[in-house]
Amino acid sequence: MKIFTAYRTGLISAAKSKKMATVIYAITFLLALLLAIPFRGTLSKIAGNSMDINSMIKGFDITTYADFLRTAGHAISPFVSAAFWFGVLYLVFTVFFAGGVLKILSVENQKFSARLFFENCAIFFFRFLKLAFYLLILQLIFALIVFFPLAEIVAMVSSTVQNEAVLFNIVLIGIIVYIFFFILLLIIGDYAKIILFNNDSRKSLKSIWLSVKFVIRHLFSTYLLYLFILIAPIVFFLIYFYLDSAIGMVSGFNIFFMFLIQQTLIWVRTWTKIWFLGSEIFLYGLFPSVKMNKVKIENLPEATDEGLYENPLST
Amino acid sequence: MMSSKTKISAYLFFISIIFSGLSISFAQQSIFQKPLSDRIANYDMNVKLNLEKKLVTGEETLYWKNSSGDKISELEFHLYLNAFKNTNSTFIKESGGQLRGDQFNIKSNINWGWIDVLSMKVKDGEDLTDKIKFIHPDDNNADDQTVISVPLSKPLLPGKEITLNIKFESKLPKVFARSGFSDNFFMVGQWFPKIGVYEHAGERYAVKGRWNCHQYHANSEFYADFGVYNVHITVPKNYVVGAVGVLQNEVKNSDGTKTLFYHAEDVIDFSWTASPLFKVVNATWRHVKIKVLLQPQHLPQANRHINSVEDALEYFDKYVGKYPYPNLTIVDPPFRAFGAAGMEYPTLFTAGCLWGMPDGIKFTENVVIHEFGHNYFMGILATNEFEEAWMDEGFNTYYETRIMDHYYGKKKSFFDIGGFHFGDFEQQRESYVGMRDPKISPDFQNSWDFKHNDYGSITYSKTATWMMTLQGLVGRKVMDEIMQTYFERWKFKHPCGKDFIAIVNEVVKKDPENKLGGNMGWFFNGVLYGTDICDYRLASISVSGVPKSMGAYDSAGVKHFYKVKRSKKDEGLYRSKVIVERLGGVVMPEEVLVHFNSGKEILEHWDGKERAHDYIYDNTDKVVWAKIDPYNKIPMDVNLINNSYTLAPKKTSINKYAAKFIFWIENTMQNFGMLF
Repeated sequence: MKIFTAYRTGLISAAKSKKMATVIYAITFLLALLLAIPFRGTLSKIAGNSMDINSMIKGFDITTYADFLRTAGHAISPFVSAAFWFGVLYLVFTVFFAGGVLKILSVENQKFSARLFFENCAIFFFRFLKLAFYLLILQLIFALIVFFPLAEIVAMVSSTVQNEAVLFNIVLIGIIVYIFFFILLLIIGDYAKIILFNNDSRKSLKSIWLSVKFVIRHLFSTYLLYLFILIAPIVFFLIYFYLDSAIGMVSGFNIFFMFLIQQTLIWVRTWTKIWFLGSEIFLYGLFPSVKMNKVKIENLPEATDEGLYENPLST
Repeated sequence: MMSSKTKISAYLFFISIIFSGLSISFAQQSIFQKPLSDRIANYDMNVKLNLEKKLVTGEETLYWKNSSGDKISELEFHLYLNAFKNTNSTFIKESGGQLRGDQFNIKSNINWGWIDVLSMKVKDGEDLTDKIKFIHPDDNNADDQTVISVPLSKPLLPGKEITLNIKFESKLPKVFARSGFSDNFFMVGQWFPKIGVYEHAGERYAVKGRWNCHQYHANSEFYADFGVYNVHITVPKNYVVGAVGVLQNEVKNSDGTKTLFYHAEDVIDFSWTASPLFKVVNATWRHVKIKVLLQPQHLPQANRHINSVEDALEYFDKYVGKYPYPNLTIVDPPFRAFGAAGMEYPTLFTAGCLWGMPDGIKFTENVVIHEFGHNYFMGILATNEFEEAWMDEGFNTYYETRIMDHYYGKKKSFFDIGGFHFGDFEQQRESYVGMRDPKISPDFQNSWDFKHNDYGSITYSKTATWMMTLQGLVGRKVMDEIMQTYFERWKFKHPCGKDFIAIVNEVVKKDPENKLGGNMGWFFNGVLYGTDICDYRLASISVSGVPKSMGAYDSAGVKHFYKVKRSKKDEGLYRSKVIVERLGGVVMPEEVLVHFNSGKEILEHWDGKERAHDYIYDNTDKVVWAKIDPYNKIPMDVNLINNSYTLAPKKTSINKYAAKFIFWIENTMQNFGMLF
């Protein structure tokens, strides 16, 4: 029941935070445009007066695609490597936004205020940056913990097994194990953010440790809540793929329509992240508190039957 | 009343009838009423498989005919398995110990392979054993032992036959390059002492009679004469066997083994396979009995093998010629023996299959169709795979792409999942035009002369691409006639490149719609013998007003100046200029489609020889766009993007991919953002 209450409460908070989602989405879109505009220009220049590029309108055509890449791959490849660096930059932006998002979510009926949002983004930025660094190290360590033994097992088994289905299943199990831990670490990261924010602390490692304890103690609730919320964006993506294959981008109108659908999906992804945090804040508040040395909570509402935030310090 | 003598005679007579009947039933049944080939090299073999030592020991009786006009004083044999004897063999040196991505495992001594001729004697004649010597006709590698020469004290006269009794022992290598063992799976190919081909003067490129018996190279395959094979194979009784030819009988032995007798006629090779794990699935297509030997986990994919081979049988029957043999065996090697996958023998081939292969990835069908096709190109049209690999691999790949695209769809015959798709011919073309350097090698060269992994792209893909180009130039009907003529005229013989080219010239010349001339040498000079590429470009289109006539003229020694006024007829006239260019060295006749703003179109024919050519139109109509090779007849063109030009480029496609790019960037960024 707690999971469903947290799920619902998070959904309600996210619903009230559409403006915040839109601001973050807008920044995402502008960042993407920084790369997309020169990309379009390059593509246009390379295509020149050739008509062959239009054979890709109805769908993917490998002959055109491969000939095109051969002619112009050197001009396109910088955009692909730039995409990686934009990803890294966006990660930093996400770290920056975290403080503002938590502030807006943590206060009941808090209307979105750009000033409040960005103020708290700035306040918590360096703390969250440090936290992000430790969490990334943790992700890397876990990847190695899963990857190396898996590779050893696969190498050992592949020299003896006759049926490749066995090998496939071993790799599949390895991937499932990895995904399980990957999601677990994301959850730990979210609660570490909440703990660090709630306690107004600068101790990133301690926040992570407390988060680990909290998540392990309430593994079923935290993990299941995360998976339930994850269903929504997955469903949206499936709808998008269906629309893409049913409608296609074969005319100017279709392209514009699908562009709107694509941007809606990006907005939904942003909004879902707010939903995650909103639900997790609520779930965190439902359980006995995790104390740190210095605790400072402001403006947290009293618990009510409507499942609003419970003061985590009250026992 | 019968006397005792009469009674005994009668008994003896009846007994002889019974035994002759028995001997008839034990003897093989002829497959063909008349020989299809000249049956030069015929083998009787009796062999046994030793599981533990991975050995095949046995005896072979070779009946070899001197079909030339020469007295032959030496015989040459292939001992292919010696390629895997040590790291000094030509094969291992050239391949670096890997083939098609498979690495030779040298960690254990049991993994090496070899073949030893224990004895060789002329029947009722001399013992040749001590006269055997290794020769190295290709590279003088003294350590390579894949070819032997055996001198005869008494030369074999023209038209005469020699019978040799040979005892041998073949140690199978760990599967790496087509042949060998992997756990309890055995693919026994190129495993017996195989006599080379003696080419008489005038045959292929032989100016005088000569042995054509090359060493086993990393890139080479094989070459042998047609003959009859009678092979008795003894294996443990729980092993399932597949082999070239037709199974005559199976006898269970008292020592826990069984002996299978196979008989094959008019084939150039004999191979076999054995494994206790095979699951057998049978099917029939017209006169052909199909047997599929599958790994247990691949049983759900039996129909993929059967359906694709039936498609291939049907297609070849319709467009090339009849499949003459009454049977076909498809072998599915285990994944740890994938080095044995994708290999062809007459009436038997190995496919390649993986558990869980989705239907949208037609890898299994592709291999089945390709390897089946080798029954025609290599098996029946027995070209020399050492010297002219393009004639089997390239021709076969051409047909593989035709069949795949015909039955599974041109743009998705190889891969079709989630909106991403490509066809088999597209893939083959890309394999050629996408080479780092498509000019690196000519198609026409010895297989071992290909370097730097270009063998596959050139012999398979480039050949298939120019065959498709030839089809584009002469038309599908004429192309089919060329191939049917080639098949009918050269089946069960050893054709070479010039034989094929002669048929192309013959058939093209008699085509009433022929615009290519009577000699297609220019085509083969470009695509087969040369290394240059084909690339044409629609360089530009310009439209302007028709220029006025003006200037100076002389009259009675005086200069006058004139300017002709535009007549009403000239008003509204435009001069459109379309420039086409040849960027590559290969010349192809091209069609150029020119489209005017009124909707009118003109199809120009250009011989493609000049480096640049102009088309000028003075018309009320303006040219809007033009396209070289509008009907995609010349897939050899390495860049199709520059084949068209429009004065009004549409931005729809650009906008589509720009939108997709924005979406992709945003998702990438959010995926990174997910980490916190």
